[in-house]
Order: sequence, then structure tokens, then C-alpha cells
Amino acid sequence: MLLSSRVLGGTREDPDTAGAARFERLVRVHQDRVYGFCLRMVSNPDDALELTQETFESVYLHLGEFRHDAQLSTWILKIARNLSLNRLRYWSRHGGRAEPLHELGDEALGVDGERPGTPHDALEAAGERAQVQRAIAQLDEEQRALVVLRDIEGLAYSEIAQVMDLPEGTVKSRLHRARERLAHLLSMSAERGAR
Amino acid sequence: MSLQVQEAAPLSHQQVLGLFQALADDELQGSALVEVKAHLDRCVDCRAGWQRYEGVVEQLRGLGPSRAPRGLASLILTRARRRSGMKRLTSSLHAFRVPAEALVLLLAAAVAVVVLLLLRA
Repeated sequence: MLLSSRVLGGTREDPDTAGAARFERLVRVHQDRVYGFCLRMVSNPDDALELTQETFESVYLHLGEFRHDAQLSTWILKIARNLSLNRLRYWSRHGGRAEPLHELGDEALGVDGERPGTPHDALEAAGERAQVQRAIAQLDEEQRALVVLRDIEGLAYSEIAQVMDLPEGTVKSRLHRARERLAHLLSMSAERGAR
Repeated sequence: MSLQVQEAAPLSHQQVLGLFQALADDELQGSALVEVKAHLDRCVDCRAGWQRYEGVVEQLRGLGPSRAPRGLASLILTRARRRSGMKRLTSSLHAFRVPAEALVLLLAAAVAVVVLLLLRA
């Protein structure tokens, strides 16, 4: 397998077997975060699945180009981000994805649904999470990525700066605006719900 | 990272608004934190703004990270293996490039010889 031995740690084992095992470990370590990011970006589980596969295929092909001035995890997320943006731009140019955004439930989002409280509480909490997901989907692509990386995936600002190719200060100010917009969207949706 | 606000005049509404992010990220400490909290205690508008901002951040954090569907890793590995096979095939074809180029040269030479013979005739 053509994998960078510097990244995956070279040994004298059979390169095919050793490289495959290391690539598998890499996939298992990073797949949840990549899938979660893609899913929140495109709001569709099938497309997120496809994008995750494309991301790791690209990782596989370009691992030799990985520069060690960045973390492997942020480099992988950067690939996922670029592929997600390409997909979203393709849809916007070609008029695809005209159907309403998916109503993503906990199951589709792969979120652990075990929450304390009564079934009614759980239902209410699930409804609230779906509402937040709808609001996230209404943000522009950059704002969506910032909110997902920081508030859902819990990345540090320095890591987000690497993924987004932006200075850290810009990440902070744009994230602030994204949260403000989200607050506005959620209050609008709450008002509509109250009517 | 901690942010310290310069002592002096009390914070304006705009300054407090600008510190919501640092407050949500627990980056405010010491006198800065005390000052912002004191402002929020006495200013109804800023307090409402902060509650709205904090509420959104909490809702987002409450979503939690997703888990990839079962079997995704296998799909990825199968795809990578297919790619690996393609790469091997491409590199084997690449190995035939030099003989192919030599063949072209031989053909060109043969054509040149034929043309020369024809010209002599």
C-alpha cells in the first residue's frame, strides 16, 4: 500500500499488511468526527456517508503530501471540509438538493439518545435538537462549519484556524457572528412555533 | 487563555457584548469576569442578550458529536483496496513506457530506411 511510513510509522513488516493495518486504525480513529462533520454540513446521511468515504480515499492517496506542521486530524477535517463545500456548491450551481432539508433525528445523526428524564422529556429534547439542526442548516457554509467544529466537535480555535485556513482572530469573530445568527434563527422559529 | 480587561471606566454595553464569546468559552478571569458579571447583573438588555447567546451555545454543545454508521470503516477500506489495486496496475503499465518509446523509435527508423531505399530506387 502506498502509505506514508512517516505518518503511519514505518516497520520492516510486509508493507501491504502493515500499511493496511495502520490505515484501518487511522480510519477507525477519525471516522466518527469526519462523518459527523459531513453530516452537519450537508444534512443528509447518504451524502455524508459518501463524503466520508471520499475523504478517506483522498487521505489514502495523498498521505505522502501531509506536512507535519499540522495535526493529522485537522488535515483530514480540512479535506472533509473542502469536499463538503464542493458538494454544496455543485448543488447550488446545478439546482440539486431542491427538496426540503432532512429532518435529522437522533438516529440519523448517530447521537446517543440516552438522556435522563421521562419519555416526554426525551421527546421534547429530541425536538429541540432537531430544531437546532434545522437552524444550523440555514447558516451559510462557513458559519455552519465554524459552529460544527467549535461547538459540536469541540475543536480548539487553533485547530479550527488550520481546518478553515483562516487566522485565529477571524475564526473567533466569524464564530461570534454565526452564534448570533443562530440565536436569531432559533428565536424566529420559537416565535413561529408559539403562534 | 485568559483575558484581562484594563481597569478604569466601567464596561460599555458594546464592550460587554464583545466579551460574550470569551465568557462562553470560560476565557474571562479575575477582575474582567467580575466586571462583566456586575454589568450583566445591573443591565437588563445585556443580561437578556447574554442569556440568549449562552442558550444557543449550550444547545449546540448539547447536540454532541455523531457516530459513524456501523460498517463505514469496511466500506472505506474496500474502496482504498480497490484504489490500491488501480495504483499497482497503473504503475505496472508505467513500467512498459520505455519499451513502448523504443518501439516508436524503431518504427521511425524503419520508415526512414524505407524512404531512403525508395529515394535511391
